[in-house]
Amino acid sequence: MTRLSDELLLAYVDGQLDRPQAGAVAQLARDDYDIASRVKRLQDTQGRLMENFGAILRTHQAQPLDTAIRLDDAPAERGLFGFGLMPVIAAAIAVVVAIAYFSTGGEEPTPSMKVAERLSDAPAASNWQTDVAGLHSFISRDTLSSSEQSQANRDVVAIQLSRFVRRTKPITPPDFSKHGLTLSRGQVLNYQGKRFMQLAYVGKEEQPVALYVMAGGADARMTDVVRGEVKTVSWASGGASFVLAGFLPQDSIRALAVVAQNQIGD
Amino acid sequence: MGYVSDRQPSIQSELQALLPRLHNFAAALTGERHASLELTRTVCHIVLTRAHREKGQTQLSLWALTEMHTLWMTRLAARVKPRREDPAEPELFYAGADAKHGPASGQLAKFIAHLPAQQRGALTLVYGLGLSYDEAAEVYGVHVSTIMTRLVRCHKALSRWMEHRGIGAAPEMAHPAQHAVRQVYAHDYEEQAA
Repeated sequence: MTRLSDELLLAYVDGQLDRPQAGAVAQLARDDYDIASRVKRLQDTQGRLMENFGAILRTHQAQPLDTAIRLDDAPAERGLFGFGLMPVIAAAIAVVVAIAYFSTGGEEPTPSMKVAERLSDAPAASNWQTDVAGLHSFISRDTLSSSEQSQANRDVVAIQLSRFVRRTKPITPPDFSKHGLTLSRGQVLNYQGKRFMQLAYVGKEEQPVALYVMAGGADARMTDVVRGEVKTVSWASGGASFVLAGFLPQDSIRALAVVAQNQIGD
Repeated sequence: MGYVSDRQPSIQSELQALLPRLHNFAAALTGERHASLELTRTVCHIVLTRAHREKGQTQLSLWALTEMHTLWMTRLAARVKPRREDPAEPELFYAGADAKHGPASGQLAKFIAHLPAQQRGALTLVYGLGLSYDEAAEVYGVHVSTIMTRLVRCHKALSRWMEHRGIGAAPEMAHPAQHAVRQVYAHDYEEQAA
């Protein structure tokens, strides 16, 4: 019997899967009575919900809300920061700046200038791969739990991953079960305004190993990066960048990276 | 649906056309008629006020829905003492004369009214307003898996509710999106029916 998550089946019923994924689920539903009956149940509830919410919307459309909501009384576009108050605010700022300048004798830089100078002296931002290794040093077995923002379900993580790194061929999370590691959590994180996915794996005793995936990046061969106790291997292929990080020996991480690369493909 | 930068002068009329959709979502979030009207009105003002600043490809309906959710969340966070969420007013989710199930639709309205606001909102966006999972996730500012999880919880709860009341299969579905789904997977549906 094939196990498919409710999330995947609902996405199928709601027509949210792409054609290859939908075709695969349809085939399984044909072959497996359990899946077919679960799909039927979801279709029943979906039908109820669509009929009800569709009827509510039609009712609202038939009875416009003009009387309850008038758009004509919208506040003026300029509002508080319109031209009326601008000269006052500008004058106030000028006075504050003048006081600050003369109180320092007009020579010492203001504290904000010092901060700016310090920032300009700071080393250039490190790249994503090394920063991810730093991030990984903060996670441990105890911190790994699934929440509403993350998923432990392989099917859902696979859907996330495929949407995240848009390819013609669906991507599935690497399977490290032969190496004693199972997928514990998949979640989306932010890095300087860009999003990336973390797929965390745990074994019986080992600290987590995680594959980090970010869309974009020119193809690049595997490179070792060591940051403290965290060993990583990074590479890029097929329009996505990958970093595998863990507290394992570098050879082990590299071996897992090869497994991941082979399973993900181009 | 077009984009704000394309149709700046006609924002007001398009917003007017969007009112039923915005009010539906506001009702799902607030659970109260008065509060939903007030929320809809405020969001309309925000959109009208900021429309001139919007550059780029902002889709009006998604933008308005996102503003609505953000505003509602801000108001919840501003509450000095968070209170337990009360059930919503069932009338807001009653399909009325348009429903094909008569008394059953009244019961269903009560069921929906007792769902958490975030789940009611997700149902409204996907099954009422026809948004994709990705669009609903954008409105909520969450990842698509969060929307999927919320929807699955709703479906499971509804399935149990229907079983408990001996309510059978759904009627023939009339929603256009459903027709599209059916056309794509017509073959599968036919086989299952057989």
